[in-house]
Amino acid sequence: MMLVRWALAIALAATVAAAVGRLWARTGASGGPWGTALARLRRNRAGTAALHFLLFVAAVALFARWLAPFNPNEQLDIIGLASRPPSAAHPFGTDIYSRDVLSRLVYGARISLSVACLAILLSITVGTAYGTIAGYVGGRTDAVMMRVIDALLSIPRILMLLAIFALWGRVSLGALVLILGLTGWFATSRLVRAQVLSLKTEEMVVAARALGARHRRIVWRHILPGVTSTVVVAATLGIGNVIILEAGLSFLGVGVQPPTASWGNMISDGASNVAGLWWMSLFPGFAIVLTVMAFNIIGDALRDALDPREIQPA
Amino acid sequence: MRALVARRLLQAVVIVTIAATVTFLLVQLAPGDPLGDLVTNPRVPAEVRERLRERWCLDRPIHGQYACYLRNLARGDLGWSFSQSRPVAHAVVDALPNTLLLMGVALIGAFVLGVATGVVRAARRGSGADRALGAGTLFFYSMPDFWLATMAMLVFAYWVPIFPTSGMTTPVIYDYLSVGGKLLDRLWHLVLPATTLVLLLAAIIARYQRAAFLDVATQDFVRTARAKGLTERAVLWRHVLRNALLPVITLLGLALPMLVGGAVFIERVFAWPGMGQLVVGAIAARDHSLVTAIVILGSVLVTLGSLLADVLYAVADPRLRLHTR
Repeated sequence: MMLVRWALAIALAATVAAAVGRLWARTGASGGPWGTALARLRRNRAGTAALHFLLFVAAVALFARWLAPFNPNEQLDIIGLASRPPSAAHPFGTDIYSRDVLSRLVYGARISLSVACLAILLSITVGTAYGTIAGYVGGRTDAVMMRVIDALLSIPRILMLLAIFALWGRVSLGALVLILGLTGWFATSRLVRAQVLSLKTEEMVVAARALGARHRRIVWRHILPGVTSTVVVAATLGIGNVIILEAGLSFLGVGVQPPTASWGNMISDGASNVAGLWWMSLFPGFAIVLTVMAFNIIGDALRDALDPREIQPA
Repeated sequence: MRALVARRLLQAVVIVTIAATVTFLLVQLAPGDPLGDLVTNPRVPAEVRERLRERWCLDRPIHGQYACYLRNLARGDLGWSFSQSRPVAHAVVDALPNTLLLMGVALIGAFVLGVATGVVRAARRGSGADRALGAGTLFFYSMPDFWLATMAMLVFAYWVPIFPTSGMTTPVIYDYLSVGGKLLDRLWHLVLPATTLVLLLAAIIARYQRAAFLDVATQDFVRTARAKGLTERAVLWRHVLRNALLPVITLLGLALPMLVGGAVFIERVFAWPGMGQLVVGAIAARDHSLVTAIVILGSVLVTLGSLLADVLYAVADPRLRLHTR
């Protein structure tokens, strides 16, 4: 029964992947910088494989209710079934409270992925806005804004996060997303600013200004489209980073709070007695590594595809 | 050269001051009292509480507190840790050398391994070795530090018990060892935590090093070197590598924050008595002054690292030296 459901999930992910692939083929033909980039991305075999894998993980997270063999938070039999190694009924074993590790892994995908994606969305928005303002306005404003970024970047992110958690204690999921998002935009803003500085002197911007275009129009029509590729690459590479950070915080007990399963706090559940309960830490760890690797492969592939230097004369 | 150092030093002071200000604001925004338990604990006499408040200026309005906070920081007075019942500076002095030892060993190992991997990959671009090393690099690059540490411990301390699971020394036995034995015991305990950090950091360095090497390898002077008939080896070693090592110096500034972050988790897993353990304990106890002190120290360390990187870069690159004079 379970096997059928998983087969269905994989089939669904494959169908979505095929549909996306067909869409790609069409955009590739349309030309333009994005079309060329997508066409090149399509030829990147590792990138395509990574994308398929992520679609599968997303499908698993989306259909967790049907794919998880058990309720992730239900203590099945605290006396008879606690801390069992992998078996036919529990492929990834059970944890110290007799909860099914596979089910928790499936539900954990939801938490880990959504926290990371929302946090990244927040940080690239703030980072792009800040970097664009600093770069576009320039002068003393820029100098002050960038010194602040230097200072914020000088604090190792994990220490800043730990300080926040030490001061505020445990927080809700929404607050966790907010905190992760608002501590992650400093480097992005610096990247965006550098890009804006060079775009500002481009002829199209000078021409637009000479024609009397307003600042708002110049920023929206000429500056922001130019930084999109930088931001997209930074965001893709950043998601993996945030997944690892969230896992680390949950490992230290300040991130996602039990009984909600996240890949990080699942590793932590097993780490206290890793010799006896290795399956409890091993599988969530692999889930993190594979997912983060997939995001990084896609990020690298995107960067290669969008880098104009890589464009070979036909 | 001297002007460069002076200017960067001034910048560093500004950066650390801003970082300290951010930390101060965070503490001000946070709920709870900086003195924590001492306020609510009925066994602490009122006059002790008052004296502590006065000592760290908690009785003053916010701008007075801020001025006093900066003055204390400048003097090296980091405040009172109520969870440790001693000045924060004492706790830091105990823990910092252990962390610096771990980080120093890891930094050297990671640079050697990372640069070597990056260069091999770039020199044999597109070969099987490049692809295999690339996959390995990506694997470690995508790994949570605490998980790698836990798995290393599982495999090399439990399944194949070669290395100790935790701590810096073997309890009790250590006191009876000879000097050489003590040194060996410490090294033995260092292997797993340091190797974990090395693998994680080397993965990051290797990615940069490969890109730097390829950047240099496509420049005109390399083509010239080839054109005048130098062997491939001479071109790679004398022309490409020497120039490709320059950007790696800037990585020193980048590597430090990651090293600090990695150290927190690895110290936690291997019970290494350093700053990471200190900060994890401070979170559990919600010890404000200890946490903020560690944050500021982290910022000082990172700023000094990037300062050192800039100066080294200027020393290593004559072009830069000419410009800044």
